[in-house]
Amino acid sequence: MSITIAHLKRGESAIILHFNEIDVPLKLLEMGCLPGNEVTVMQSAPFQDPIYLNINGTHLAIRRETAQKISVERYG
Amino acid sequence: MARSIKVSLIGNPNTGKTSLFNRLTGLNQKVGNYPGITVEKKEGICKLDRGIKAHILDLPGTYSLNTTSLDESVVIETLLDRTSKDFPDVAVVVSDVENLKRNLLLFTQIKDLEIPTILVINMADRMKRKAISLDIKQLEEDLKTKVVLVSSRKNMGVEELKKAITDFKSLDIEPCVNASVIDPVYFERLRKAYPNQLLYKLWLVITQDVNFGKIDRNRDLTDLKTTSFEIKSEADLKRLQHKETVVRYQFINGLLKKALSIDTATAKDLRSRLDRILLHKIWGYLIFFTVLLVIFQAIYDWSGYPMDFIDESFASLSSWLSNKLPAGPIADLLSEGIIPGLGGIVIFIPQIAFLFLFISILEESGYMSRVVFLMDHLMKKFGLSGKSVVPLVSGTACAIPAVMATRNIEDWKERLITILVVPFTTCSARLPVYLIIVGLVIPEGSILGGLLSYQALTLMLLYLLGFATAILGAWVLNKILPINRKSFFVMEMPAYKLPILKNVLYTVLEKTKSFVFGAGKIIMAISVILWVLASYGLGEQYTNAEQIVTEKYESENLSEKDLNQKIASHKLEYSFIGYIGKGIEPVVAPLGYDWKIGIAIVSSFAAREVFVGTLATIYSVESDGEDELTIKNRMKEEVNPILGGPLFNFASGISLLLFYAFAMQCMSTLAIVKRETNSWKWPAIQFVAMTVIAYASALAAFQILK
Amino acid sequence: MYTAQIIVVVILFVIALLWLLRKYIGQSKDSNNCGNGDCGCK
Ligand SMILES: Nc1nc2c(ncn2[C@@H]2O[C@H](COP(=O)(O)OP(=O)(O)O)[C@@H](O)[C@H]2O)c(=O)[nH]1
Ligand SMILES: [Mg+2]
Repeated sequence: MSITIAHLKRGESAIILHFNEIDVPLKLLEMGCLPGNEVTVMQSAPFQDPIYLNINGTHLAIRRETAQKISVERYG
Repeated sequence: MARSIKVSLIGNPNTGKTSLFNRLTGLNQKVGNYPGITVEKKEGICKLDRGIKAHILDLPGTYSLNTTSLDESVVIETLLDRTSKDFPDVAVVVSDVENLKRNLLLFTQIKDLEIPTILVINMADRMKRKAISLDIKQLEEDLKTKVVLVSSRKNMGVEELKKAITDFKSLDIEPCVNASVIDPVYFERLRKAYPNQLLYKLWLVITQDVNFGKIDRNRDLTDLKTTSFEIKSEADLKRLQHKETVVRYQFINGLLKKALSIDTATAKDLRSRLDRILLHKIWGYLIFFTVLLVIFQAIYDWSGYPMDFIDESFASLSSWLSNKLPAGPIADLLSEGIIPGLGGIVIFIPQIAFLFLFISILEESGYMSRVVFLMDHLMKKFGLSGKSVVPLVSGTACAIPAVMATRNIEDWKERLITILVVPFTTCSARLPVYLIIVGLVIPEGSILGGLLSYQALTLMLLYLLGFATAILGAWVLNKILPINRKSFFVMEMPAYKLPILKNVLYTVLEKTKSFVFGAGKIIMAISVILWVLASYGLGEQYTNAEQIVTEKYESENLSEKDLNQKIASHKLEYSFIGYIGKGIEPVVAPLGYDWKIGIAIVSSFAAREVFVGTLATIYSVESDGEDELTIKNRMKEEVNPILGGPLFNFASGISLLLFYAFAMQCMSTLAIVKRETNSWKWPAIQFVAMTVIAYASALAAFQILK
Repeated sequence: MYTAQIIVVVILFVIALLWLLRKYIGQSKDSNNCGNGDCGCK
């Protein structure tokens, strides 16, 4: 089973693997959320929602629902 | 020879466009709206060398030309339509040195439109701290244009930018990315079908139709859909757009590998330390609450002094005028109608200024996004978005910009609900009414050892009431509106910054000005109308008022002053406005009001802040004009015609406060809601529901408390 | 003199009234712009 951004803990980094275009708004891609890029979880609000990420140098927040749609691979 | 150049500032949100705009134009700017829509448009003039004038346009922030919102569509409309009067001679793309990679995405798209484009890399002052170094030569070569390093905070590089704008003719207009690689066959066919058109422009127009049905295209492109040309499905187009984004990022990554280096070891920063506290699961919320508290205490307390001063000045101006001017209707109109009416608006300048001061500091510093982050989960439960916090907070200034600020909410249902409930938040127009009523009916004294006065506390409760009603309303709407939520939410978390003083001051100045002139004009007009209606009348009771009153009080031996007062009251009662007021009275009497308050409420439907001015005008017509009383003192002396005792007592005061808290008394807001939802249905529902809630709660309050 | 002043006041009154009416009633003929792509137009 592959893991998604929602599985990452605070401070963990991973590489974005893939996601379905329908589930992820284009704006997120434009902000740098593309396969192959690095993502780090900076912080999450109570109930792990929303999640504050650093994707490729851009700091942004997305909801848990979206984070669950983006599969990633942990480092190492 | 004077020439003029049209310049558009374009860029991602928060890259410093407005700061740069302020630098370039100084106070030489004006704010308007794009025709037909209500996106704010800032225009200004900048003088360049050789007597050339640059008309600078500050466009709304956008991440790309693939627009999904009205705000962003303004940018693409401006760039696609060569016949538009805003079409730029040169586009200045403003980017943030810390987010260069992402910012360049938009740049490459604009460059593909073959418009002369200058790349501004802003915030150069932060490079040292972040250990960023840039190879500008390399960038210029690969991007095929002029690149200027700027710091609008430190006023660095602005002169160089001006020079680059002056020399825009020498800019290369060759694209730097070839978008057609995403589907060569399709693009080739497109080119064949429209040989005279720019290929990338065609592509944008086609994809715009997916996201934005009603964009006004160039006339020569309108037939695009009607021809036999192959139409791709929406999903296909979306996929191609994703592909385009990937291609552009590939280009940018390759480029930045050569031209940009960041020493990440030194890049540990303020952001993460501050975020750890401000986004803390407990501290974060406590801090947010404290911030709100400080704002309300400031608005109530600090602005008290200038307000008292203004109130008294207008009262003495009025009596001075009526003594100096030759007696007659014009003098009366001025001293009894226009001056008190104007006083009723000028008095609120200190508060409005404070409010916008705080809001703009919160936004400038980057804290507002943290609030959005903290609140999203909670807001989602009520059918709102974390982003609804911004409209709800800026709704405390004015519902109109707040309704417009909902535009960045991705989900339509969340957006609609936010629009519908925003008018419940306590806007600054309610403040005048609250302040004067609170001052009249809430006793002095304080809690927390003098830190928070009862009056400030009441005011804060009123604000909380506004928010609570908005949230509750959202919850109900979320349950009953049959619309699906997609629950998309993407928000950039900007770096923390010390606000630039100039930006804050300009915002305060601009908003205060528009409040005074916007509401001021309405209040002038209404005070003229009210004064005339209150000063003239028909019928025997009016024309023979003197005789009737004198006869009535003959036995009581009143002093001349008291008698004159009685005559004035009698006349007012039988003036035009008296008749209208008496007509309203049965409706408002159960709420504890007399007919004068009824008139004030009715005229408040033009704009709430008219309330105080209206009462001021009515009372000054009624008084004999010699005593110099402030509005507040006049209100204190009013007597309830049915129950006796002071008209403004605790019961009627609370009832009035509740009425103003809930009633939808702002036509401008209704007009904006109509525009933003594109139907009369929503503003109509809003109006009826809010007014019913207002009447019912005011009625209940008065009947229970009296 | 007095009548002249009355006339001025009445003119002001009419101007104010017309201005307000135009502001609030004339405005309703907006062009039909819609909000977001996935919004209320549909
Ligand atoms: N350090 C630094 N901060 C800046 C500079 N220019 C703008 N800012 C800050 O960046 C933030 C966004 O600026 P603003 O002009 O509102 O950006 P806009 O959204 O593009 O109009 C504000 O907090 C500014 O204070 C700059 O040159 N250096
Ligand atoms: Mg701006």
